[in-house]
Amino acid sequence: MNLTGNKAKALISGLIAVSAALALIVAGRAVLAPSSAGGTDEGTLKKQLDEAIRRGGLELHEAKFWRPAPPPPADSEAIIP
Amino acid sequence: MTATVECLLCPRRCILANYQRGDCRVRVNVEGKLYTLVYGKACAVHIDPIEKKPLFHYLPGTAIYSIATAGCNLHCKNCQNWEISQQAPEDTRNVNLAPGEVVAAAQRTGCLSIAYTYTEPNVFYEYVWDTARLGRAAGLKNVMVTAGYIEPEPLRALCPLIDAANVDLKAYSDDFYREICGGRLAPVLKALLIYKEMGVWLEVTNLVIPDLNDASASIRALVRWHIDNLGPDVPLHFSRFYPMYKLANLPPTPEETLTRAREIGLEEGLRYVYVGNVPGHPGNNTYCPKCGLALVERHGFDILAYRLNENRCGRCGEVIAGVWMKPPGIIS
Repeated sequence: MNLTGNKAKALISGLIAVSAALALIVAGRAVLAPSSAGGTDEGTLKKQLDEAIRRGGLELHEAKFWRPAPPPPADSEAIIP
Repeated sequence: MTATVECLLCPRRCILANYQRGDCRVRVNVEGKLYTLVYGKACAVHIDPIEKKPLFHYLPGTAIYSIATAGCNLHCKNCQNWEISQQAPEDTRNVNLAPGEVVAAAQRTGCLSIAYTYTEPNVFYEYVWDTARLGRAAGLKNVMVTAGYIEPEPLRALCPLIDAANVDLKAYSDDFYREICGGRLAPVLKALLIYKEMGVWLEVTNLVIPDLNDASASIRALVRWHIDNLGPDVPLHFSRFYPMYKLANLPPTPEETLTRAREIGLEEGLRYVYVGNVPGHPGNNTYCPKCGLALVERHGFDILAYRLNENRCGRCGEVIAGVWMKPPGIIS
């Protein structure tokens, strides 16, 4: 490919802009992923619960009708009906 | 030692890891114990006519103190209260209203009863339980307005505190429950049987939605199950659907569909079949099943005329099922 000086500069600038945009999108995903995905590790869940209780002015009140259960399979991410 | 718990309240039987919430969004496992987040946190508080529940054969014309919290264990695409039922409690505007305060407010405002309604009272079970216990002691009646998606054991435990219930039977179809509501039919039928067997005054509502549950054969199947299992004296309300939530693309139920549903109910032998959400429809009224007299004339939730003597038809003396009292302010 035979590019003149100005065309080459424009192409390089374009490539830099696209790369920067991609980097921002990737970074954005990295930041947004835990909250948008809900997060299923214990630490994230605890943090989310604490925040919900604080934000909603909620309190914990012991529930009726439940029992201890065996832990869910290691690969499970959610409520298992 | 495991911190995992299984919630036994509803048929979902959610198994929750530490700090995880159930499908209802309001019950949470904290270090191996299950808690509710909505005890005493009402997101809706209103005084309604009891006819709005709808209960047409129970203390007609009286006011009912009505409360809800966030959350639901079904996810109906047509939910009319989705802004509170399909939300976590930190995302609704709540007021702190302890059970004793609910009872005091109901008494102060002249209500004879308390309704647990708008969302799904089964998911605020502990709040219902304590409020109902105090309400009962104060001489108030307790009313559940529910989809009936609950396990038998907790329902049987609660029923002695409950005086009346309107259960929403969404369709006599497991496919409908799975596809439209994210639940199953069988537990709801079981709950209806338990309410009946435990002596709770029961009325049933079926929201008729165009194209989804409005076929005559579907309605007839629902009516037949109702008669065979609950009996002909349990009132059935066919209610009009309005476009809502995820079914905003559908039209409102045509009036003639509801009229047809009512006719099917009467043909099959039900004694009290109503049309709801259509003010002025003849199906708003209660008729004597023996002589045909309009015993209670209604326009929507308002009572225009009342012609019962205690629990009997004012003309022929037929016994009319229900818990009757002359509505306040009615002369005829």
